Parts: sequence; structure tokens; C-alpha cells
Amino acid sequence: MKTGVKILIVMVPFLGLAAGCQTNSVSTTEPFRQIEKLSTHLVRGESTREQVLSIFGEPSGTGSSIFPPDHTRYEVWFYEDIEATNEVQPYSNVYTGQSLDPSLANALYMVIRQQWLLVFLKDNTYAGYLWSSNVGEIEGKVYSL
Amino acid sequence: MKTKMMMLGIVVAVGSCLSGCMRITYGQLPRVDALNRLVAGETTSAELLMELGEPRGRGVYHFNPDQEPRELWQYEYITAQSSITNTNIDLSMLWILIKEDRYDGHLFFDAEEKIRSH
Repeated sequence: MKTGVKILIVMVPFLGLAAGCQTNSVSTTEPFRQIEKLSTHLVRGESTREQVLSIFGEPSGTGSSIFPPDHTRYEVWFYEDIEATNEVQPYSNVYTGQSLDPSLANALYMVIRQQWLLVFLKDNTYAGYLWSSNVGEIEGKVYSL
Repeated sequence: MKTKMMMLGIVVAVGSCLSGCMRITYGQLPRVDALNRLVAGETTSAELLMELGEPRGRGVYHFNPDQEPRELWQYEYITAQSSITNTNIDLSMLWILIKEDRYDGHLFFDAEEKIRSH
């Protein structure tokens, strides 16, 4: 699901580009976050929400969670970092140099960096996190935009 | 005068198109107001269906090896609006955990993000 969702998200500005709406080559949320500070600057059960804010800034979104076995309710802060660069390389892969099918002459070649970070808080205190990151590539073809 | 008005109309129409180039919607907005009515170990799968509707995806949750895996229902919603200089994305994600046909927990978050292009 997640990959499909992200493909959808990053495709939007690039579809706009293909449609002649944009002339830009990079789409991004914000600069890459300093994820290592999760382990060097935050302590579970001790660090405050203000300390989390000072490191990661305002979250992109919020929510809640209840997990077994204790079913404790946590506040959830959601952070996301996306940067997508379209490289117009219709005939070759920019990394491998491998030739592509000439029929992909209208292809958009994208390099995507993405992170998700969920921070869990209990009683205004940092309680844990869930983090994922990937760097991927998407090749798409625009037919009639 | 008539020609000028027609030209103005065309410019406005093209400008409107460019300012809202594309809008994509994916999934359905989770009914998160129902979360406060769910009780772990009591609310049944049938009641979950009534409260939340049919999930878009299903899976398994197994974080703690000392516990049995939970069934996972997934709800999600994304709408993305692209304009000339940026893309605004509204995202909602809800996971429901189920154990032995009963609600056993959840994870929910939503976000509004702006992706700018340069």
C-alpha cells in the first residue's frame, strides 16, 4: 500500500509537469531530518514534548494509538520527508547507464527519497517512535497529457 | 469590446486551469470519531464494520513475539491538489487491530502537507 500511495503522491507534481503546468525538477517537503537525535537527544519516559518539538519541529499531523497488551492510549505525531527529483533520461538509467526501451522516450525518470516518523507521547512525555526510510526510483510513461 | 471580453474569458479559464492543475483522491476518509466508542476486548468485528465500514486492506500485526499476531484492518485516505508551484496533500491513515474477533487497538494519524517544487 505505502509504496503505491507514495507513488501517487509524488506523481502529482510530475504529472503537472508533464501536463505543462510546471517547469520544475525537484519537489520536496522540507530538508531531511536529523533522525539520529532520536537516540542521542531523547529518553523514553523522560524527554518532554517541547524537546521533541525543538528537534523535529511541528509535526505534519497528529493522531492516537492503542496497542496491546496494556491498551494504553498514546498521542501520535507524524512527520514525513519527501524529495522527488525527475531526471529526464529517456534512453538510459542515470545510475547504471543501462539503455532503456526507446519506446520510453516520453518517460519521466524519478529519484525519490522518503522518510516516515511516528513519535509516541504519553502524558506529554516522549514514549517511543516508529521510523522508516527509503530511497527508490520510479519510471513512468506519460501517454496523452 | 466583445473580442476583448472573449479574450479575457479565455485568459481567466486558462489561468484557472493552471492554478489547479490536478486533483487526485485515493481511498475514503476514516471515520475516526468512532474510535472513542470502541472498547478493547468487547467491540466485535461486526460492530467494527458498522462503525468504520469495509476496510481497504487487511494484514497482520505482530510486534511482540510473546503475543499472538493480531488481524489488521487498514483504512486510508489521500487527496492531493497540484498547482503551479506546489502540491498540497491531505493524508489519513487508520489501522485497527483485532484479536479473536474483537477490537484490540488502533493506530491513527492524519496530516496536511505541502510539497513545493523548484
